[in-house]
Amino acid sequence: MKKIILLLALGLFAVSCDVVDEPYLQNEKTIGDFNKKVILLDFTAINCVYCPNANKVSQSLADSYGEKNVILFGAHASTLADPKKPEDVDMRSETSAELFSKFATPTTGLPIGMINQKLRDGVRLMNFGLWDKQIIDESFLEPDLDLNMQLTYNESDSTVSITVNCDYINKGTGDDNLCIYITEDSIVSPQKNNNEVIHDYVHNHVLRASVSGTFGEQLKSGGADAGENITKEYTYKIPEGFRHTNYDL
Amino acid sequence: MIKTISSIILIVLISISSVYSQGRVTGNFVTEGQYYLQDSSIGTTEFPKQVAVQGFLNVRYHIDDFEFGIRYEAYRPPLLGIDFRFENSGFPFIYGTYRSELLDVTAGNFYEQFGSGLILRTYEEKALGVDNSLNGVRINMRPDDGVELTGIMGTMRNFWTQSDGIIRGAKGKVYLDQYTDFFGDNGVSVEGGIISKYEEDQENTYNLPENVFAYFLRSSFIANSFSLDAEYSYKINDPSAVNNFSYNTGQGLLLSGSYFTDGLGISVDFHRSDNMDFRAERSATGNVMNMNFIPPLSKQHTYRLTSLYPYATQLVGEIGMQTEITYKFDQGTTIGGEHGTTVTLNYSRIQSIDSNKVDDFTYTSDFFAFGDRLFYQDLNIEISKRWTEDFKTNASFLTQIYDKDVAENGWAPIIGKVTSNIAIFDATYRLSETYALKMDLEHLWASQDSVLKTADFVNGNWMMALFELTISPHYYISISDEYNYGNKFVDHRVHYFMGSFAYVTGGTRMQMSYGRQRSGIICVGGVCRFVPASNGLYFTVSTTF
Repeated sequence: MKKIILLLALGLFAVSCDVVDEPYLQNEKTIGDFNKKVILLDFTAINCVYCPNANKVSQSLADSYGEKNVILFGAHASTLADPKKPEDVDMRSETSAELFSKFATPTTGLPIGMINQKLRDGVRLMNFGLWDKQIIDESFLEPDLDLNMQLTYNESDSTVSITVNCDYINKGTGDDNLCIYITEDSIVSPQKNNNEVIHDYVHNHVLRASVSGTFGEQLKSGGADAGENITKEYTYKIPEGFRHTNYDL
Repeated sequence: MIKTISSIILIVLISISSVYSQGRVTGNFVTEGQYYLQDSSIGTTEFPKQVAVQGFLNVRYHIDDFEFGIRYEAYRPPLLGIDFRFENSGFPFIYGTYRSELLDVTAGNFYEQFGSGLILRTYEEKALGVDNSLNGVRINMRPDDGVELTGIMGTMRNFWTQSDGIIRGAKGKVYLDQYTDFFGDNGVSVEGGIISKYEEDQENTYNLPENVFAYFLRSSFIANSFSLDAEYSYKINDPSAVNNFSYNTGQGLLLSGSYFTDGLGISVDFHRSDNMDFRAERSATGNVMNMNFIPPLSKQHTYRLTSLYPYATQLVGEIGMQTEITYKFDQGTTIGGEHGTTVTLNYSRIQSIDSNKVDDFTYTSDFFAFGDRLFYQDLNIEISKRWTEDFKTNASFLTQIYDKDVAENGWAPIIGKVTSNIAIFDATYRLSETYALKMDLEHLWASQDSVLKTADFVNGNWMMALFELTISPHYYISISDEYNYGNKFVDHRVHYFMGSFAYVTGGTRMQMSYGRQRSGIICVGGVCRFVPASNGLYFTVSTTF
């Protein structure tokens, strides 16, 4: 009899049940002060049916924490990003393709993103349900260096002069590379969404190109010392065919 | 630390067995490895380590009412297609069991299944890279004749760690026919169980249920010539990465009936599953930390070319039916001939469930309505005939429709549906007591909805031939070729030659093969994984003791 009671007791543990009613989203969060910026790079595609959901999550994270704190890149990659119809805008780029081939495999399912390229439980690419948690974890971290960028745009020859100052707070490593990416906002192109197509979908933060190569330029071989200042200068010609509005560097 | 403790336990187990001779040691050992060659003509992926070897050893020690077991596994690294997170070695499975007439108690790692597995099924399938064993405690009780009760508690294996989720559950089964004569000689049983998974909500976006509850109910009726089986499962809201953070409840229903009489067998199955994917961690995707299993509704084919477009159960939701008729023409009849002929006709059709989106988090769905999208259809006939004592043949014809975008592309509109017809002729001729020759010829005709823009290695027509010589009782030698001669991209019309040699003695089998393996999908019981193309030398050694 005792054993049956024991078993019933074990059974009772198994009836724990939390039915959640609306609202499904939380309002209050404990977050750090974002001294260190957080980069959310989302692999996305126009033919990826769940990508609009992921875009909603990434945009709401940038809105809640500030676009200066959470910096979004939408890397249109994989075969799902291939334009299929004449009205599809080709948002693929060499940079996105190189990033995808480095961090993903041809069978990686989209949408999937990485935050500051950090590993979480041994995995770098995360489903959008995990982004918030990872961003909050990152928001408490202190930066290793200060980055400042000055831009001068010369309209006559479509060139941008870029000066980047890197002030090292802590000692750097030889793996510190400076990547400068160009993103474009407000591109209107059809997007698959579950079983439907949204014909006037507005794509933001679309990763278009890189100024210093997809994986960047090494800041200092062997790593910079704490307190060291490194300045890098670039002149970049905006490729023909780019609209000269709605870009971010 | 764990490794050290495990090694000590293993040594103690082996020492006990040698000191106390009344105990008994059983187990098995398997190792397999491959040397990978780069072969751009079949699209192999780069494999810098060149060699992959994986192996495991199970040792079980039985003494009186006790059983102790341990498993060592090593993946250095895992074979291509097996999740790279397995790369490691150690003792992931250790248990002790006490058995008596009234109850069995297991502490440590164990596998368990409730009913058909709609709310809980843990198992190990090395071919799929699946091991979702539980680590905790299990009690099985038989308080009365015809009554079985089970209680479990534990966490699930997650490669080399354990899940954050804790699984608690209980089930009971009663064989009613053992209590009353009302059912005569028929077998009647009822079964039910509950599971609750606890997982802390560590993120800040959603209000997530930390305790997810599920239950199932099942009843079976078995008479002399027919049987009926019904099973229903329900799961409360369980937003996860796989269901795209849907707050809908989950439901599953399996109905099956079969009738068997002399020479004739008929079975009809229906199933509907909606949002029944259940995981030990809500962020898991792929074949990782699945807590449950939706039995497949289509025939599980085994021939080589039938694995090009195999159907995997869609965990998000599907509805379908299957029917199979088997008839054996008796010996001495026109069709039956001298040794009898068996004909099997099978049809299955699986569609999306009918659902209407309410908002980003919920949808409504009419329970018995079929959705618009056809996922899979398979109509096949198989004729097995033994012509003489030494000669038998098996001829099959299959016609299938396979929604490749649903099955492989995450619903993205890339390929559309693939329509394929497959013809198979398989003959085995026993030349003597020692020698037997088997021949397997297959052809697949395939077309698809969309014009292919990106070159791939699986499209258009295929042919396949395999010859196998068996030298009883020890040797198997085979050569085969698969040829994608109808690939829309001329460069990809490739031969996949393969030669294989196996030696079997007692409980030991050794096999070595060399050649090309096309990319494809391996399925076991409706659970599938992708295998990339490879070229090289493969070997495996397995033994049981």
